[in-house]
Amino acid sequence: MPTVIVAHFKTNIYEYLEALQKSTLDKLYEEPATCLAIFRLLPSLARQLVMSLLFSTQIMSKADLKQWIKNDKESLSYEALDKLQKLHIMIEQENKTIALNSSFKQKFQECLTGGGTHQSFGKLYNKPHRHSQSNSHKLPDIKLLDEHAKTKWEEILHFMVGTDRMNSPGASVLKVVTKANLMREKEGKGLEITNKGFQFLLQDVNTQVWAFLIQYLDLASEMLHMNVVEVLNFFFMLGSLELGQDYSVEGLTDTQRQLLDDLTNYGLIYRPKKSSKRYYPTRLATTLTSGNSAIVSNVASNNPTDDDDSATEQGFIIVETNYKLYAYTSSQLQISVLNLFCNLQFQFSNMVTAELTRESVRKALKHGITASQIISYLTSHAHPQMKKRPALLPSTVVDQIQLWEMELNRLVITNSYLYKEFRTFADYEVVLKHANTLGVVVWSSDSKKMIGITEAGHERVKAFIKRKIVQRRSNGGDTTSSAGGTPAR
Amino acid sequence: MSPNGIVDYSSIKLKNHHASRPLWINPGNGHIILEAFSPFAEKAQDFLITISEPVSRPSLIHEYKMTPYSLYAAVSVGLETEAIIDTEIPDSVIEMIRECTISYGKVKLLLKQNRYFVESSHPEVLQMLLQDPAIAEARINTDGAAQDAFITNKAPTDKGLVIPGKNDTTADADNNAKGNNAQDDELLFNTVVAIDKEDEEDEEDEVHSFEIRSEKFENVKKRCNELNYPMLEEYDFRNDASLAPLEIDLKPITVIRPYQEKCLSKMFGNGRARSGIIVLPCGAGKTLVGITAACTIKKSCLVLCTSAVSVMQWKQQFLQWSNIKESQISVFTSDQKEKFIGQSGIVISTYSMVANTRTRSYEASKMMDFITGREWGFILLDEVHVVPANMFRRVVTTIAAHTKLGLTATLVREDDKIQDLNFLIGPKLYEANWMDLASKGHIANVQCAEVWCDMTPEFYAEYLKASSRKRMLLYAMNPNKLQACQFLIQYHEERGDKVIVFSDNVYALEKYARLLGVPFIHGKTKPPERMYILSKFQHDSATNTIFLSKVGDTSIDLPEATCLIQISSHYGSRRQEAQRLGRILRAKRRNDEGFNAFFYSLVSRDTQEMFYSTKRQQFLIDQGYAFKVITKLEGMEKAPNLVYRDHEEQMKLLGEVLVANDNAADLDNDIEANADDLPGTVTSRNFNSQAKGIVRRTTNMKSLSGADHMAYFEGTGGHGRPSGSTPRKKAPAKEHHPLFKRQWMKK
Amino acid sequence: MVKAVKGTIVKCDPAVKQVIISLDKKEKVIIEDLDENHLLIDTSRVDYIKKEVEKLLEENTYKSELDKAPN
Repeated sequence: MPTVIVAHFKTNIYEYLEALQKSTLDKLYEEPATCLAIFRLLPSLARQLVMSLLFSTQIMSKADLKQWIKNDKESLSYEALDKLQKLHIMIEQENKTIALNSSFKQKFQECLTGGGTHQSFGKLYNKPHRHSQSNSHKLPDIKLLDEHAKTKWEEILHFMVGTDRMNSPGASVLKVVTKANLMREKEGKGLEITNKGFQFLLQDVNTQVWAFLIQYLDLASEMLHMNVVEVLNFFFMLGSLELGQDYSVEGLTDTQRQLLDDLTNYGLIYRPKKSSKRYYPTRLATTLTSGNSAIVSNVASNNPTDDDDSATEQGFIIVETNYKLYAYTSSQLQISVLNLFCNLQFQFSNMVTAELTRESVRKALKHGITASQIISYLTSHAHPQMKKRPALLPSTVVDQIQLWEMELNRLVITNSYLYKEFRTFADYEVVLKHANTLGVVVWSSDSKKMIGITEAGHERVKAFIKRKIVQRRSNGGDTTSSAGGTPAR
Repeated sequence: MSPNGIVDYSSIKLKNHHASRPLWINPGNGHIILEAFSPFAEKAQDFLITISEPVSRPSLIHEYKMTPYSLYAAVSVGLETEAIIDTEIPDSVIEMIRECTISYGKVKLLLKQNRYFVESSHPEVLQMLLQDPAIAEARINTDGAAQDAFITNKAPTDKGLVIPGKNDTTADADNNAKGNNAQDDELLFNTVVAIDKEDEEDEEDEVHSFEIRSEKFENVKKRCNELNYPMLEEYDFRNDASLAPLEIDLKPITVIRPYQEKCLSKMFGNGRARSGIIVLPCGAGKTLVGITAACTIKKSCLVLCTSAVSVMQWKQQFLQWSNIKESQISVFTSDQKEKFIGQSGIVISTYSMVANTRTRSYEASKMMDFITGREWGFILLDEVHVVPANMFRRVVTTIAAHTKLGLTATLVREDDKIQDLNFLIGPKLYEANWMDLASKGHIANVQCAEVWCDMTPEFYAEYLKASSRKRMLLYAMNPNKLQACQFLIQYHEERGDKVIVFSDNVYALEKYARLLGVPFIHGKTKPPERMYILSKFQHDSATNTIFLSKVGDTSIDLPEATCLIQISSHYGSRRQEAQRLGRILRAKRRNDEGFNAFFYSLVSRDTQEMFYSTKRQQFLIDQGYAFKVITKLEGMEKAPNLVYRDHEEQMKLLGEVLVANDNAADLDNDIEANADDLPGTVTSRNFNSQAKGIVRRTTNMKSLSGADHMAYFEGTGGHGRPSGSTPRKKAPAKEHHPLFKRQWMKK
Repeated sequence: MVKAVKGTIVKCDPAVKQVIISLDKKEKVIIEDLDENHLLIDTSRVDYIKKEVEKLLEENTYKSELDKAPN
């Protein structure tokens, strides 16, 4: 029974932004599109706070603010404030008053009132007016854009799952997936998926795209020496563009032009030709900042060409109380994802039958996928019929998946050194205290005066005890703080 | 097979309007997957239940499986091959259907005026059958008629047949309510599964037959089976003037439920009575279906049950639902041998009495002569799943009956009994959907839970080194389980529930019950005491819990019970689990707003019990029940007065368990058979070994020439009054409290 | 004199602990019984213990037909 270590999976753009320098954030807020995008990503209470301050000239204290947003949930408003401060949108001054970040305030006002001259929201191709679509270039329709997005994004996922080794995505994709540790080099056999990669597959598309872009950002700043602000601004601008519309590459910085190439590879952008002077955002891009991942969760997974399948956009999986699973899908990718934790049985042209079994779930757990990830995948892809039930998933099935996970952890092992036979309780206590500060204690017992120390901590604890002995000797036999003897072995 | 183990049928094209055809058919195994939420599902279910066996029926997606037997059943209720085949079904499935149905249902066995005829609308099939020497030999050649000269008649229809108890007005209202949409749906659906309208017309054709010698009929039947032309048995009761009619009808106030009506329409579909099996969950009114069938046929009727208790229950039900005169209904048990008066009537008896090969008392053999000497219009076979095949065969061959109807709640497929039953009785005519009945309030909603009880370290240490028999005792007696049981009883009594605790293990049963001060009944509990306990449970508000051994698995009918707790059970028997659940399905309070009955199974963690527990649940899970795993009972730690809190007491208990006789772990030592009771009512791990057990017991009983009065009487109404004349019989007679008998009569 | 004994600390529930104790009776694996949820065991026997515990859990688990079929 392997101990399952679950890697924390950073998928959230908030976390990324919050970790940025205040100065970087200030720079970001110079773009109206970025201000709008980040605003849209905020929770509703935080949005309310921003709006209340945006056109106000009054000076407000924190307390005033809370009055304003008549919310009976204290913790929520506190959370909203905290978030805004972390993002440096709201700044608490020395005199305890609260103000909006001046750059954010100005640009966001501009963007709401339409003032200022900027191309923050993308420059339309040829004609600046949206009505004039009568130009000679026939627009690719939304269907084509969806198709492109689906093909490209699924190419990446397929590559990870290993359903389609032939079609290797571009080098920049490979760099990102290895950088993000979604895949790793297997001696001489190319790349293989990691535990983190398995977890990645279970996320909804919007989360996947952001997780991917965040990794790209790191890569861009470290290896490609791109300017993070420029890259982020570009992402946020994409989120404000209109699906089906074409935009001009004019006015884009060199960095941003380079981004276009990579994002085309990921399916966020469509360009008729590589050298084309215009580009189209796909649904993957335009929904980046919609803040509602459910809307886009299936862009890449359903079959947009099949008119009959509108239901799948809302979810395609039925889980029954007898652990049977019926998935209305023909997508090889979805089937591969299901195969991570189900026992597949039969595939019909528009449906797959499978069963959740102890073995199939254990297999997934051993790959580092957690029970809650499986459950949330099943929940977010639940068929509309499931929503008619009191609980979305049968509670017995949910419980069982968790029980299977618990079963794997019935035996937790740690290679250790057991320290025992301390001469006095004080000796024991002092060593325990020190080991605790080192964070290497596996187990301890006051009554037995024993401490279990991790293998890694052994040398340090041993050294500490030796030091104590030296100390004691130099103190001429002060027994109160001494640890007796030398560690064996 | 692709690398991920999936079997790929995606190349099979869907029909144009697949959205309105909620079916998938698996060409590999004949499984049919049905969207139960589709607007067409109800029609499709009706159809599928006719042609296939339900595999699983939870809430949204159902699975069915076509088997040769299910197709045989389909043909027998009047569907023909082409009606089953949809043109876009995978070839392999079509082939299977054709193969199975081409010969099915072509031949019928007809009992007319005590003469057996082989009938078919296809003369060439009759010719073919007569090529077989065994069949040819059985034929009665009248007046030296030519080989190919058959008796020819008009085929039957159901014109003019009325099944009593049908609530016609509501049915009409229902149809009208559906309106035009329903009609459109129907139209669309009928193109998917062409319902047998045309086939009915086909039946206007002529039918041909030849007569066979009655003593040879079973042989002919067997030959036909071997030739893959199984014979359907039908009884043209409306045109049978030779059998005296029985004056019986449902009382005007008796109304049957829609699904009961459906059962009956399958049985009487073409105006004749078909032999077969009807499967309804416990508590869903199987008895009424049987009674209504008897009221439809209106001929003498023999009812066979598994115990003397059931005999009395059947009689009481006949009197309750129908207008049969009490003089026309008689019982035949080890201590009551009544004959009805006149030309026709009803006899209710047990399998054991009728299939008995022992020496009979004078009275009993007179009674048997009465039964075997006449022709029965109808034989009703209750709880068919528990009757051993050889016993069945004896019943079926010694009694001349025109129609045989088998009733059961749990045709659990692990038994492989379907084959026997199919041959001896007939195909399954109908099988109800448990969840559907529960949602419509016909049976109670039940919350099922499996409660995990950690073994105490000391018990577990012993468990690990114990023999497998001792292990059973250790996991049954786990102090944590005792506490959980006590806690649940307290909890549910406080809610106002009436609780039955089941334990197969008698040692544990007694120990638990004594400890908790709760009355208990097991195989050795004397009938008067039983009666007393059951009546207290039913009527005394201070007695809200009783402990029952497996004697309570069937037959004991306690509609007051609303909560079941199972502390020890018989290995992995799915049937027992279903039977026990059945004890609360007819809970009186089932129609109260938001009422739930509760079914708990207490299992000791990390023991074999876990394995059995899951296995036992499989049948119910396929019916759509879900077992919630409870790893910790909320509030148990704080509950006052729980037993065995003290470590020392636990150790004392462990000591007792360890010195207990290994036999204490046995589950089979509880019940001894009574002359009426069918040993098969005791669920067993292995049916065959059980059957061997019967042989042994029968020998014992033989020496006592009749009833063993020390024996267990199943249920409330056992009454072991001696019937024979051996000296031994007198002594136990006084065990029977007069109250006990009176109680019976009141019922 | 303080001693440091090398080994593997196993954290487990009381039932699993009993299983290990029963294994220990056949073949020494426990170095020190720490408390009701902890044992110090011989590192070289860890895989053996894991396998045996797994086997026991396996025995008590009813498997779906699918799990039984070798994939």
